[in-house]
Amino acid sequence: MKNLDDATRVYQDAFARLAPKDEGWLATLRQGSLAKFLERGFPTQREEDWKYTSLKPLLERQFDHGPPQTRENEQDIAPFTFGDLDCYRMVFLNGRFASNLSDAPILDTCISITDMATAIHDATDFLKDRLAKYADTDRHRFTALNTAFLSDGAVIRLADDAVIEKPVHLLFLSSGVETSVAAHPRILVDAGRNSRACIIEHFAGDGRSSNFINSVTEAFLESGSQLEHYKIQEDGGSAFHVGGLHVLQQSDTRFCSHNYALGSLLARNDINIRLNGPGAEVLLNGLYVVTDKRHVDNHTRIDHLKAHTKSEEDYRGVIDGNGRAVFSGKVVVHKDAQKTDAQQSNKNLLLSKRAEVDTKPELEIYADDVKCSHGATVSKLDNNAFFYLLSRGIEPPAATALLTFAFAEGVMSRVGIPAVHRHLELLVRRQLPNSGYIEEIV
Amino acid sequence: MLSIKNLHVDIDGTEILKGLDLEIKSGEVHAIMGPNGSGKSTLAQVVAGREDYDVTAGSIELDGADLLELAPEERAREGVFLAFQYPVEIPGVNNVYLLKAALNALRKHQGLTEVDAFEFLTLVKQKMRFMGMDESFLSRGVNEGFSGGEKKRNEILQMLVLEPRLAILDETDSGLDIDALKVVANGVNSLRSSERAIVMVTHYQRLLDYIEPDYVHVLSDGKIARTGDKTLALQLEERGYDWVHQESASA
Repeated sequence: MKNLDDATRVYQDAFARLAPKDEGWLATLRQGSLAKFLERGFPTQREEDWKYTSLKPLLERQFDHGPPQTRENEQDIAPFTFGDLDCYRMVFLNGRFASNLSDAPILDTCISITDMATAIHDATDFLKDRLAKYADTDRHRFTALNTAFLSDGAVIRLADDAVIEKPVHLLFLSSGVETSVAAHPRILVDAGRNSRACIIEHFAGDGRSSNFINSVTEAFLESGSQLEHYKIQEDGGSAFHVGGLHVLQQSDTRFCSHNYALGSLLARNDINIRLNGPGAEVLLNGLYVVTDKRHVDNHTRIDHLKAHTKSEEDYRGVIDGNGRAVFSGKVVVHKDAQKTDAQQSNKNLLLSKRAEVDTKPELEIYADDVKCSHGATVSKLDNNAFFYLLSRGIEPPAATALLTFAFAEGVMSRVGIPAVHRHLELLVRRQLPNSGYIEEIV
Repeated sequence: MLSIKNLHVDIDGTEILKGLDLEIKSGEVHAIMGPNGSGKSTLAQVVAGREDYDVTAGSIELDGADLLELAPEERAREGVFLAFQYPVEIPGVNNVYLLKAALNALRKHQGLTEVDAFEFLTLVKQKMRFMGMDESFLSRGVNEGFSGGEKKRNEILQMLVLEPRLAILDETDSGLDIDALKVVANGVNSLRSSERAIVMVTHYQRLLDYIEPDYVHVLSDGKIARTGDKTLALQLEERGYDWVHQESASA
């Protein structure tokens, strides 16, 4: 096995080969980020934030950072279009924007949806001002790494009062068997005052590739805006996924996140929310289904910076086989954040003796007039409900599947787009034990 | 039909039923009454096959077959139905699809073909109207967000569709207002037949005004302390359970 320094050097070499030399402001940003990454290297389990997640399987692998050798067509993306959902779609193949499969760019007076490579080329003052402004490259080394390799992704911008009626579907398709590919997609969302949008980040694969995706999303919500954000991760069981979501919310904004970790051998999500104005409200919904020998780690952090802010978090996990899940939910109520309302819950269902979960809810409160609660549970199936189903003639394996599905549905019921809800139900059902028994029931 | 002999049942090392005997014939309706903690619900759950209880002695036979040998789902297919005191909410699992799966499990066991979707829906809609349930219940999750009364109606709806040989109603009257009680009683009465037995576990006499039992048993300290006709229930209402308890203790 290579040591961490070697692993870090691989990325340094890739950077040297790939980085264009003549992009002024961006070159400075990239090089600065690379330096930050190299300074500390990949996180290790000696660090509190990475205590339960070993990066060994990721670091043992070699990834190609070159341009993708894929030629996907409409048929290849069909399984991932939510039954042809009416939306603005952008497709990325191994991290590269595929304009032939996409609706973007959409450019009108109040809405702009464009690929990151074009945005970098255009180098507007807006982009220079906002890109990497709030994504913390000091704390988050994968975000630093993403910024060092920043070259493609999406930029979504809403003017004041603009409303995108259709969801924006960002489909990241992973493919390729001979070589494993690394991609660092970057998404920037800027929601003007009182604007409204729904964005679906969707990571899918052909199921065989063992690619590494390290995605970062930054979102700015100006006063009164509302953003619904989905992250659906259904990469195959040998893929690696690291994701960072960094959100800054001004007053009277509402951000709602739906985070579905339903794939990958190793997945790690960091979600950082800053509530920076009175009336800012965030809802974090999460579901992870971890089977076989997979590993899913969700770290969320909500900073209540101002008074009268509200957060609600409901993360649930189903862990089966040799699966392992990690949840860490930190809520920090700063001293100016009086009248904060923060509720957090993490529930885990363990279906096998070999499955494991480490859950850590954490509250740090520096204000005195607040309403906060948190709770974490790890349990097995409810005996009462199990007996209820058996008493109706249902076979025990079917009862297990039904109750597990119902547990997951507790989170899925909050998905407001029916086509997406159906897609998620199907994904979850496929991963449940004995799912064949319940096809006709749910 | 149902023959219970010298039944002893423990839960977590505490003996709840202490030598209970009960004979129920086809076509009969029995009420089992008794104070809280007398073992009424335990009896209902043990007959349905709940595995948290230990049967330490005695037997339960259904038409001569040893019920204790059967798993809960096998008992259901043999025609045992328990209407729960606290029906369970199962979000995301469609109420009607579950009922269809339950009916098909039963039919398969009886060597019958599965019901087709249209036939089934027609049947369910008819039974729902009878139980005063809105058609919106068709698309809802099992007991998901149902009120207490709606849950009890749903239990009876399931019973009407599954047409069990032996129906056990565990405190089905609790938490019902008078209108809901009438609807539920109507549902139960419609199932009275010579091929079926009904056992009502209840705390109060009120239910028996609407579903008239052939026999009333009083459970006390894990045994049947007294058996009579429906007038026994009225006596209980007047004199309280202490009266039976004292009599059986001095006997």
